[in-house]
Amino acid sequence: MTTIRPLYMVTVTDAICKGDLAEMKKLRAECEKHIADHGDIASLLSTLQVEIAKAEHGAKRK
Amino acid sequence: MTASLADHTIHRPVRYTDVSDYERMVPVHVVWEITLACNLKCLHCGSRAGGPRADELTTTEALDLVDRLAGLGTREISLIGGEAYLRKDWVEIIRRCRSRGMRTAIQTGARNLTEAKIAAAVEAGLQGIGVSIDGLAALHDRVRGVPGSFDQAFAVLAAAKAHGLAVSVNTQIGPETLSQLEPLMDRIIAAGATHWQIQLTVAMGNAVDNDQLLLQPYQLLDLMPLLARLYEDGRERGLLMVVGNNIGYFGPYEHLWRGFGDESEHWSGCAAGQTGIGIEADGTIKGCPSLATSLYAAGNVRTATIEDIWRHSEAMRFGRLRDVDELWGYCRTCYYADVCRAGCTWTSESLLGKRGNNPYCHHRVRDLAAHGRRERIVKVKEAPADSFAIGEFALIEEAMPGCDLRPMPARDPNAVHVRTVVRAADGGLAPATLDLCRDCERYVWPHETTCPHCGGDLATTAARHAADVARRQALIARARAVLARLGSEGARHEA
Repeated sequence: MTTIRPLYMVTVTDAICKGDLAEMKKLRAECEKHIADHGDIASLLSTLQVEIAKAEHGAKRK
Repeated sequence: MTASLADHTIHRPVRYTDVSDYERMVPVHVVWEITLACNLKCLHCGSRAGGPRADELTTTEALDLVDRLAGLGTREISLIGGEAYLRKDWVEIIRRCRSRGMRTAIQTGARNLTEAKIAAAVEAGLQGIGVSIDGLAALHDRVRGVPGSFDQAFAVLAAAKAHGLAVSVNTQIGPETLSQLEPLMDRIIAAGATHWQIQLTVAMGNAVDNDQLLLQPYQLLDLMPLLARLYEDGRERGLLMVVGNNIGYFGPYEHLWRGFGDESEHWSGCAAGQTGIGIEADGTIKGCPSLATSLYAAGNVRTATIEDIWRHSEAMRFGRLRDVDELWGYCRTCYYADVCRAGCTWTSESLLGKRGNNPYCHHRVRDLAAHGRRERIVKVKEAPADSFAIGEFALIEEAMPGCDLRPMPARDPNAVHVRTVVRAADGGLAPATLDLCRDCERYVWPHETTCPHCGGDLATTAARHAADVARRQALIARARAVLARLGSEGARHEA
């Protein structure tokens, strides 16, 4: 049950935002931070696979 | 979402109430005007603050009152004025509140609140400070009646934050405020405030004299979507908008902000005298600090105990006993009548001289607008010179400019849903709870099977929503697990 919020008073400064949306946004921010800090492994892997395939295809032609 | 808002997902504010607080009648939150002395000259001041009251409580009386409130179960106390810090023993009162385990904060206009005063209050245990800021510099200074008060307010925000206080801002909304809310929010975020309470200026005291500061009810059509957008924007940027008790009710945004993400929370009626107490500096007790003294003075701690006033005074108990039959006008026939009870008692009664009909309601304003109508207020009687005095306004229903009037559907007051009341042994009563239609995101009474607002099948949409929630929570769990593994891998590499 929520809080009373009379109008001439300090607001409820110990309230925090909650719920799935807030949590998913927090996790998204952590994922983005990880990618910024360590790089996007999934994209790197995909690029490596493409280049490996190209290189292997070229080697076969030779 | 910044860390300041996201890192405390388990935390529960002490002011949050539960059913047992209502049933046992615990005055969870107290707002105490410790002096009426003030150094601002606000054009909208409901209490007409300025000089101290002639017979304000002595230090001994004040400290005894703190002890008695603690005995009643009070968990949080807001010290206000006037200006609380103009009372010489304000730090002593803070210290006693903290020694009794109450979360303690002050609300201030911040003029001449020096860093030394802040430091003394922090040393005594002060935990939070709310600074009133009503617009950008020119508007704020004009409304507050003192040039430079805007700059002082922001200087105090910075000083309070440096001293480790929880820092918030309160803003009153009038017609001139709307266009300034967005840039004001930018300033508030830049100043480091984490919470921003928004409320409508109420027709009391000086605001009756200066009725140009009052919003017209139909302006909610512009205000509410703006607030919803700013709420979302603020949440992303680390500022939690807290809508005050006179913002509402049950429009399309109700699910958004009442529970800060917990959609089971919604407006559940004025809590005056049920989980809150207001105290005037001379020891007068009311169910809410802002209610008209002439109508709601429930007693004085000099002539009765706070326990007796709280439990037995008629002026205190009105909120525990009232029902839909005391509502009138549109509110008496409203779908939400028995849960809403016409919103904020202070706002509606100060305006119309009788509680129970509140034109400052988004649900109502939208309903009227859908039929080409709007309501406008016009002052018909000035307010006396007393503190917390009310005047009177006429409520005029008229055509929306450029719209054709369409007849309102007939609404039978006897058809309004009234819940079955089961009063607790102590005499208290938990408020009604509603369900949320997951199609149109409007609240409905729990007995409904079809949404009265959108016609959706409530069970079907609830099942779909439950599946969405389960999928989201599975994703959250998986993301947490992945990030935890990455965190531990990172720690190993750093070692």
